[in-house]
Amino acid sequence: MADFDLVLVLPATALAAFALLTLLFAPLFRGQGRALGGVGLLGIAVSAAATARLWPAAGAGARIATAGGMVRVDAFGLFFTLVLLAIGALTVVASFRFLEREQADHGEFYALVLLALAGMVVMVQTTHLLMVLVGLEVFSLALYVLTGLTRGRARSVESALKYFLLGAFSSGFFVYGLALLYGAAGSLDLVRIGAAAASDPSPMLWIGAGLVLVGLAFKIGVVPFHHWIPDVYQGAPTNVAAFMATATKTAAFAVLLRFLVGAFGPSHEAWAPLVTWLSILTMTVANLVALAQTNVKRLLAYSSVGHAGYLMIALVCRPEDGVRAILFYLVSYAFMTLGAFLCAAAVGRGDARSEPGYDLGSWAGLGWRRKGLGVAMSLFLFSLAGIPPTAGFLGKYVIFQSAMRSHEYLLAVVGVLNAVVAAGYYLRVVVAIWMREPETEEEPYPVPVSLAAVLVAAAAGVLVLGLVPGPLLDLLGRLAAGLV
Amino acid sequence: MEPRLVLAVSAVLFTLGVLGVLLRRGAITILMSVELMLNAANLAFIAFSRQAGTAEGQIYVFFVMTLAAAEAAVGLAIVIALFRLKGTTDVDEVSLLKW
Repeated sequence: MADFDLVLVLPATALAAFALLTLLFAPLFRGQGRALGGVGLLGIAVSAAATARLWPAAGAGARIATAGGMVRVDAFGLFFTLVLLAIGALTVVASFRFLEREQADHGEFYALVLLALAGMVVMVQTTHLLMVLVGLEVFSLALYVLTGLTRGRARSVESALKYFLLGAFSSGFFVYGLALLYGAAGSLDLVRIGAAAASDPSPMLWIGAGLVLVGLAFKIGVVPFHHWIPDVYQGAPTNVAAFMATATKTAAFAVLLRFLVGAFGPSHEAWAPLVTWLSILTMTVANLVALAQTNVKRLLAYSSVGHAGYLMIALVCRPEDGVRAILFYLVSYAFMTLGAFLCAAAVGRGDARSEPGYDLGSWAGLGWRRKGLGVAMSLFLFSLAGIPPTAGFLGKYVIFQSAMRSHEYLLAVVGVLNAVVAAGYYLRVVVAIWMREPETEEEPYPVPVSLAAVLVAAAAGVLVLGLVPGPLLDLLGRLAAGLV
Repeated sequence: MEPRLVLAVSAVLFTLGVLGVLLRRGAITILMSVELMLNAANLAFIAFSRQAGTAEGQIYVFFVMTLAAAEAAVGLAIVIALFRLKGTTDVDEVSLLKW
């Protein structure tokens, strides 16, 4: 094939190759999952190096297509690839000891994380919806299995089944939407679909686009397609929940940006009201329900739904402000959510039947017994609540600022009100950590070095982005130009 | 055959699939209903492909078929794992987490 350049697809193929390598070695390293984790980490490093090598060529705003236009390398996609790889690397390192503690030290875990990453990378480095579908399915299938990883625990397997059935259902909508878009535009390339939407939009095109949006909204967890999120995040092993909450949302928002703001950008008036109301609904429902949660994993799950709502505010804004705001928010969201879930993983005591360690009560007084962990969790929660000088504060600031500049006052007001409500439940956890007497005599788990290192890295990310956001914001402003 | 007619059949199949997912309670039946939705999309791809006179849509069908097979493999594995633990695949019986 003349136009197939292996170097351009290396970020995804390296991940897939190392995933297969990990699977190959898995039987030889039973009970030594960490060795395989090392192989996985190497795969992520190779993929990151391949991505960094492409950066100078694509960074100048060029769009390099290969494989008959199925893969597209541009700065936007490469940036998302790097964010996803960072999330993957942090998850892998944090999982070394955690999986041993949960008696789920399967080497396959690392293979599945790499496969999920490969799917996501395929998804963000294309403007062809067929490739989006392939990437979406590859990472979803890997995540279904990861959710059920602790297969002796009914909770884990049940949530895997629930995630699978609802996920497959939503892919059904996505695929049918693709069929209709193909019929209406004669192609699945977003450039051609965008042109068809601008020149002669048929009802079939709109129905197809709507079905595709349903599929994406499910992955992101937009109300009313969010019902699976709390159950699945609660049932899944906590390190998997951390990965799902951050990486899935990042990849799906990349596609959503290319689809809505890129291809359907010219028909902004047609979809903006819908997204506005979905955003308001998502924020409000998630934050109100989160107030009533006593399980930290469920609370963080609802919080992640709420953050999807904030992100959608910026979808409606003028692209020159909104896209930059979404990109910045996604990066800061990744650090703080990953950190908060992994703190929960460090604390969570549980067995096959119940997981009392994730109840708010077992966090009481934790800060005085495990000071570092208490400080880290408080920092992540402050950031999620949007309190300065953290990344979360700046993320919210940029989003609300872009809403004001685009004259979306309703969204800005609802967003700020929601941030106030949300602060209530985040601070409740902080209060439990520092100001309540411990409820049990049981000594909390020691924090393993690998997990502590990841927590420090995430905390550093939250603080650095909060204190010196300038360089990243400048970079993101330039990326926003090259959506489709 | 008239592409319009094929599209109508595909829409009916898709609706049946959606209703199956929403109304049936057995995990396997729900999986079969999802397969019906995917195959309805395949039929639509072929009809549009014929209408446009290009082979693109027919190639997409192979992708969707592969994905459906992978999905079935993973799905059935999860169903078996759950059956071993709970002795049932009825989604209403699976109630540790609210459905």
